[in-house]
Amino acid sequence: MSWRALLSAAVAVAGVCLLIARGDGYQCYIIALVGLTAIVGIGLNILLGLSGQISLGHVAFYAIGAYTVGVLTANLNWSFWLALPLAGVFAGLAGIVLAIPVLRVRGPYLAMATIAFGFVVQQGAAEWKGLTGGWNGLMNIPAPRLFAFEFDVREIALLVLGLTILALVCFARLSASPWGKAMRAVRDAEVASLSIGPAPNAAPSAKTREWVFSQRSSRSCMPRERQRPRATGVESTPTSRSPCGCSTNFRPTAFANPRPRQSESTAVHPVAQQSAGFPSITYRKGMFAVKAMIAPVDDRIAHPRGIDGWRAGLSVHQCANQSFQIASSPPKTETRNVARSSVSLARSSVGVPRNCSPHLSVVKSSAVTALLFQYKPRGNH
Amino acid sequence: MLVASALLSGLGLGSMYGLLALGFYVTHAVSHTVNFAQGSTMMLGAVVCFTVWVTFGLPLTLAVIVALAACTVWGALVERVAVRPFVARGSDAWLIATVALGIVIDNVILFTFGKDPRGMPPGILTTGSVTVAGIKIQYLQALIPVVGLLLAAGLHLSFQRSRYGKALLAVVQNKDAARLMGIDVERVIVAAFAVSGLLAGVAGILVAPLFTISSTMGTLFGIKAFAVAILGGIESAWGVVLAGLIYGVAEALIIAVLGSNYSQIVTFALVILALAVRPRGLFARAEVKKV
Repeated sequence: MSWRALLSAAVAVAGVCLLIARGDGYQCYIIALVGLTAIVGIGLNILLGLSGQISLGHVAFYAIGAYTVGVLTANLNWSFWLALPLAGVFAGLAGIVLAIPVLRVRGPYLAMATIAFGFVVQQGAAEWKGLTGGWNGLMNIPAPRLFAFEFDVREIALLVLGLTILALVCFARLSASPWGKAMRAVRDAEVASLSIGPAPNAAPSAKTREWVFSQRSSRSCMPRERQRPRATGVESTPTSRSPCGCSTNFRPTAFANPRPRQSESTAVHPVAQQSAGFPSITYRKGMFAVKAMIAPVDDRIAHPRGIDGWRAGLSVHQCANQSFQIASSPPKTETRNVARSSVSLARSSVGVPRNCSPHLSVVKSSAVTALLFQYKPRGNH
Repeated sequence: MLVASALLSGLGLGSMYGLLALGFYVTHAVSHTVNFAQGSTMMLGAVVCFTVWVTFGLPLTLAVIVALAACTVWGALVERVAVRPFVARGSDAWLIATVALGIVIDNVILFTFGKDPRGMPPGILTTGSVTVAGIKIQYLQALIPVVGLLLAAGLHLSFQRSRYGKALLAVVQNKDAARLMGIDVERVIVAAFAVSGLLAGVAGILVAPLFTISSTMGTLFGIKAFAVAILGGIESAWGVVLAGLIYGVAEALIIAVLGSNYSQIVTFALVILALAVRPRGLFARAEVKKV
């Protein structure tokens, strides 16, 4: 993060603090609402933005968290400060429970399963009258207290601001961590990321999806070390020639196996492992390919959709710099240039002749994948 | 007795779910996009029909024609406004855009049509009935599944036989090749959305006498129809219609046995379960995944 970004973030936070300090009750309420929506959105972004898993029932986790705090503080007189993290834990547990069945579906089927989950939670909350108060809801939820000081809407807005910043920081850390990279690999090319796994049964990509589902709504904890793959003990087989003619260790399991479900056990976590310095050259090529796929898609999700678009050029530029070390003359303006250079890099790394260029008006991850699997590498590794 | 009448109403509702779901199927087949606010289109059909027939006092036939035309135009409009701009830029935001457009039309209807739910005036279809083996069957209840299945069959035939249907099938198979052969792919996609709107309109008009008409009548209906489309595997027309019938009957049976309080919890939990067991819908073939 550059000092400029830090400075603008600080100015923004100070501005919001000023607004909260000067605003009346209703304005503070609106600011708090904005922050809460942002927190839910950040949680959803772990799932949708990083991992590419659609969730249309996300608000169910919001409801579970809200009811947890409501029941614990209003009915059981617990402290708010104890109930708040517990709400995150409960929502996370619900995510794990949901992940068990919905791991098996993707695309529109996943969208439907999550809609159904949202309905089950909504109707469940409405019908479980003893616990949740039915359609009337829970009333008289006490305001949070810090020692003898009771929080008013102004202090709650400040609390929400703090939690929003915490959620943003955690999201940035997660996104930059090995797990963030693994998630993006799952998003961009699930089968491809499965097939580059050199160690079957090491860490199923299903695990990644499950982890994402369980993680997305607990806002404060970010266990980056949990389930981190082992740094050693993975044997690569660089000399074995696979049926598709690659001598890189793109394993053909996903193609040879008629039931892709089983090959889920070949892992995505090698992506996470690259930070641990895995030595094999061929393996690095796989990494490279995945990264090449990540960069254009970053561009794709950031730019044409929404508020984030205006800084897309900058962020993709940075991403490309970090990923590929394009030391000489980094592309200045257009994000498409970055995408193009990443494709050409990927191409040169697997030895695709320059003159067979894919259509680059929109760089698709699938185009890169196709290139990688289609062409024989030039050198003998 | 209870079960038999539940089966009957379940078949009726189920074929309506099937019709709406066919709308999802048609657009998904040609463009891999759907109008998520299909329920709102259905509501539009019912409201327009009611307004022209009851409020303006025009003949029912005219009302039905106007309502169906409105739904068809609305379906095409949704494609132009909420789907194409996003798909053209490779974005998935059409999903939220169609939901948003549905909320917009819901609220426009709320302002113009009013808050109070209204019922269709009784006609020969709802008052007349025949008694078969001790069960009273309204004409409408018998008519709904028939219309549903006829429309599904007609859709199937027109896909197979007519020129436009063949163009549509070509786009389904390979968009780029279809474009090279001179098929106007954009027009085919608009046509698919228009057909989807038309089907929703038919469902709305047929369902209106069974329920009350209000601006929110379509929301839950649309979601259930999407569940049906997904359960049917969204890639086969017959699968979608069959899934609609199964869903309708299952829902009616659950209501008959457990009462309406828990019906949604149980049916949606069953949807999750069914998807967990058969991840590509109830009637799916083996999955082929291209890399």
